[in-house]
Amino acid sequence: MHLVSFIRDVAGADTVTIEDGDLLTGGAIQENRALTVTIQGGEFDGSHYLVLRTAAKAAIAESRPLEQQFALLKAAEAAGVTIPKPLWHCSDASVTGKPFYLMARIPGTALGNQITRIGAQPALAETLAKELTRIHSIRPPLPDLDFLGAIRLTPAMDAIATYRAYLDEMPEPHPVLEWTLRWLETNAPPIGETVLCHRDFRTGNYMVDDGVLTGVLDWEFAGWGDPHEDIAWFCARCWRFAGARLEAGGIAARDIFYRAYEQACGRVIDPKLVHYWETMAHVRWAVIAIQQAMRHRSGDEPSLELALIGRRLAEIEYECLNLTGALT
Amino acid sequence: MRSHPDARELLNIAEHTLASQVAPDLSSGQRYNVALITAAIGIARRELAGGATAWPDELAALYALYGNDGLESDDQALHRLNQKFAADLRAGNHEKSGANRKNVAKLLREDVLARLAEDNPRYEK
Repeated sequence: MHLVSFIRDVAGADTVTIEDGDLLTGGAIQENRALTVTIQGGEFDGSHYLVLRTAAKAAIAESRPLEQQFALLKAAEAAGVTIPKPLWHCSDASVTGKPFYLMARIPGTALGNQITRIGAQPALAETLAKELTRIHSIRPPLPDLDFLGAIRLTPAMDAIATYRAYLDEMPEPHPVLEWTLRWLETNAPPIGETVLCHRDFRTGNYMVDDGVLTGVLDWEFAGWGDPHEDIAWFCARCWRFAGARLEAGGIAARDIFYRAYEQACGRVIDPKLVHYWETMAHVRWAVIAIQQAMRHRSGDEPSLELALIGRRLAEIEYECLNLTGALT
Repeated sequence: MRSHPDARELLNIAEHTLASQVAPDLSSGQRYNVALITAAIGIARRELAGGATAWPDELAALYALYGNDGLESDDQALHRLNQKFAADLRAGNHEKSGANRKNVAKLLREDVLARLAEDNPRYEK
């Protein structure tokens, strides 16, 4: 079966034509291809600008399989989150050579440097805070998201165990990360409220068109966790791009983001917990950076871009030491 | 003795030529690649200007913490002692005495600052 027949079947169409577009940028882990699909007949009659998403050849360990990403997009859509509308998932690799799903193509840019070079954008930060409260309105148990798995000890202790296990697989020791993980263990909070965490909610992973949010992207790391984890990831120094001094994603002061979040959901943000999860955020990004560099070093995927991510480790570890009070 | 300019000087001029003469004539996609290449050359140039470690006193600091049996090469000692250091940090073994904590924090700090100066000297601290 070809993609044309697949779409014809799922869309209940008479005829389908596909114009193949470009491989879209911004997918270090996933591959995204732009398609223009013209459908005649059925409820989808008309022209559609779509994205076909498949898993890239070397996925990193934490990344969720496509069918789970698709289920997460559906759950987010039901919760009113602004996302590219998920259309159809196909696990049959014979259609395009790999499993895939199709979603609407949304306008704008996700490039972090481009977005943060504009300077302060408080309205965008407020919109994003409200979007985050919608994501956090999704709570367990939810049968469609059964695959997410339960929290074992606490979100913090689970994360510490995961990152230590990743570090154990690496060829070199990482004393700064071990120091930070020990600090995280000693200061671990008890289990709090459990919500759906996006786990990659940050500048660079949402699309903006002319200053307006068009969609929250990249759901492949989502899971049950503490809402402060997402707030901290959004504010972490490593995701501010050209806006280092604008602590909320490089686009606004932190209190603007916090206030909009609190007003939208009534939950009170605990700054100590954000500090804790911001420390965890840097360990997580450090582990991902080491893994990305390993994709290059192993010879699986020779890439200067991946290689250079390995040399971002010093700045990430600098922030780890800063957050754990080891710089003074 | 080698001829001159030396490796560091060659990398310096190669980096400069790429950034100032090659990049302006390229498409945006290729400019991105050139930016990656100049970044890699810059890191390599700064790393080559230093010694075996980014912070010259790293091995001495590890010896101060764990002793020196004199049987290993510097490379072997660096790897083994950093492994021990990492394992001890995980186990909390350096948390009992205040003096030890201070030395540990200093080692971590100096190492990170020296690596940051090599890898991203313009990082806004």
